[in-house]
Amino acid sequence: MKKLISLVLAMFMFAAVMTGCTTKQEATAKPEATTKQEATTTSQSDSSTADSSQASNKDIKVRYICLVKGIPYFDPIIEGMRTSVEAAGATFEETAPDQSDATAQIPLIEAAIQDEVDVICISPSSADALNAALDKARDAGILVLCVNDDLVGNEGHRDGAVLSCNYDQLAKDSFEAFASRMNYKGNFVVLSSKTDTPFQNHQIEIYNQMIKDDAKYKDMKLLEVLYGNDEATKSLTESEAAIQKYPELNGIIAPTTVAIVSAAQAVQNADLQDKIVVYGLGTPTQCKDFIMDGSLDGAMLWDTFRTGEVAGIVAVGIANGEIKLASGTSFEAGKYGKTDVIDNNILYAGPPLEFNQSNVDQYQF
Amino acid sequence: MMERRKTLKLNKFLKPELNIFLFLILSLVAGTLMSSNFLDFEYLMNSTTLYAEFGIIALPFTYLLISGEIDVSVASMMTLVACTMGKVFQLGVDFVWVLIIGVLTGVLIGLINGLLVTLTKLPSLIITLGTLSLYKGLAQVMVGDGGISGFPEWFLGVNNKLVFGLIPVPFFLLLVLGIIMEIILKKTFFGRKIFAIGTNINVARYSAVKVDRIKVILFSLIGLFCAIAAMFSMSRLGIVKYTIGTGGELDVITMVLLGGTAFAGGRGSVFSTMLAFLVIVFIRTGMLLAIISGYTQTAVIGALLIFVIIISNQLEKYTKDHS
Repeated sequence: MKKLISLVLAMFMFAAVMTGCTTKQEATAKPEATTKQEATTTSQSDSSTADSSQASNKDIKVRYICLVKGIPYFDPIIEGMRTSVEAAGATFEETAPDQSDATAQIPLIEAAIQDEVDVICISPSSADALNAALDKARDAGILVLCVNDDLVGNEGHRDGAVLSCNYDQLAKDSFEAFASRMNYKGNFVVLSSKTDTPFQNHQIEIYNQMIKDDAKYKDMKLLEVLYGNDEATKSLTESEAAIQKYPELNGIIAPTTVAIVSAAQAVQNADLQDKIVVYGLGTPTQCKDFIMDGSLDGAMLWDTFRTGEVAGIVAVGIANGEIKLASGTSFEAGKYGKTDVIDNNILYAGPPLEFNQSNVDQYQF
Repeated sequence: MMERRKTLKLNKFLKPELNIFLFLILSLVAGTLMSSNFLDFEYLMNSTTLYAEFGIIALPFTYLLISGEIDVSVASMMTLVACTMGKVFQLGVDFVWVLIIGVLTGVLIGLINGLLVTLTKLPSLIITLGTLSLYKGLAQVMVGDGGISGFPEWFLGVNNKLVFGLIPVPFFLLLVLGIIMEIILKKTFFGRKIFAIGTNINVARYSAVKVDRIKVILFSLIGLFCAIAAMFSMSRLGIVKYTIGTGGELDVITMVLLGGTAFAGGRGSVFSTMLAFLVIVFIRTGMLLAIISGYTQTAVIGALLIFVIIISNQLEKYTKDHS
């Protein structure tokens, strides 16, 4: 019992010491905050010349919270953001949780609030579980910008979203490219990821809509939608089964990287490169070998480096007051020129991008 | 004679609590060195709320581990309770009843774990590994992939409510429950029975300890605490999803083991678990502020765990040899 009491006492002593520390820290921290505010207000008034705006951006801290550590896809986004934020003279930091579960980013958001960053750029792991944490950040005066993925249905909990491209446009462009390679006729299957992935399902929905609405595609027939669960082996098995099952198959369209690579592999294994068109969405590094040897006719995605770069420009621009995010307006995004802000403060960083034999080795993601 | 008294004094001093207490100080020092924003009482208190849910589960978990059993389904139980509450709320039930149903669900699924373990006589690791998937699966089936939100205003944001204007409610409850449970463990017959079961189950049985009954009580107690944790996480996040609490069982086990509780049972203290909870919070918070990646954090905590266990085993051996 004595031991217990002494430990409790020791803990309270500890707490007391720590409270002591805080009061002191706060006292020193406050004047700093005011000088910082003054610095930004003075800088806003004379941001007309490039030099002074670069100097004023010095106090701006942008922190990017990535979806999860270790996904190569995000590397160019990080690098792009670093490039544009640092070019503007501001500070860039990036961090990511090691798990992708819904709430893993919350401690990172809390840490960013404590570190008094000016902008949180985030690729959210969940469209709804982060609401409370993001609200807290915004209450603390931090700007919250979604990058690559948005908080669909919870747009009120962030200030804006920089998406890689218009995903509807991407579906249309990739289907058109696929159809033209099939000469607008024949049978095809879709090889998707899982039955419940919203992105892929939306892409497939648009394919169907196009076949229905546009007479150009009337001779094309969708035989079946297959699901490879984003696993290489399952996707390969599904594609090989489809090739066996439908001898009259002319094309496979795959709106996901794992599937497109597996479909190309299956076509290569069956030695049917000339008969079956494979097209879809995929990252250049994973599609490269198949595009080069012709078993993959091409792949589309977007320029992730550009996504990061535009996000960085927007982050710094809003923080120093040069850019105002409002639906229906537009602004100059550095070398990429005029960028429109559409409904819900969403903006697209660029157009869809096609990878083919001539450009596939220029991209590193 | 003098020599003996000296070692006795030393023995009293060299307890697992001391071990983890030193680490607590070390973690604070390390945190301060890593970031100038670390030593901020308000922020540290706020950080405890991010992990308090698992900390609360770790308290009865310490009891269970001392008795020589384990329950790896804790995080799934928390998820299932939260999802059940969400679903019931969605059906339009008054929120007070939602909370009551949550408590009952927690106790019930804990009881199921306890009965399965004691009736089948299978190792609790196997049984609860099964219920880990079962409960998580049920939670997913019940609410699907989406989330349920829109809980009443008074229920939300418990992590922002402070007791005495200093300590967030979840952490305060953790402290209060922890102290009560430590006293029960060390000062009552019930506590001594838990130690007896963990030290030697047969001796305990021959000493007329109702082993199975106590085990079932402990498993149900964990269920109850999982229900409390579920409520805190619902209140903090404002949403229920089947993915909340994923991987939490490892956090809970780490806290308990870091506190020096023996994996084989028979030794441990709730108080140390609480200290270990703080160590983990401080280390993680410090590294978060220093923007050290998640994997490095996990590695550091893993290394710390091994280090602490080796030290506490050596200490135990030393005190045994010298008494």
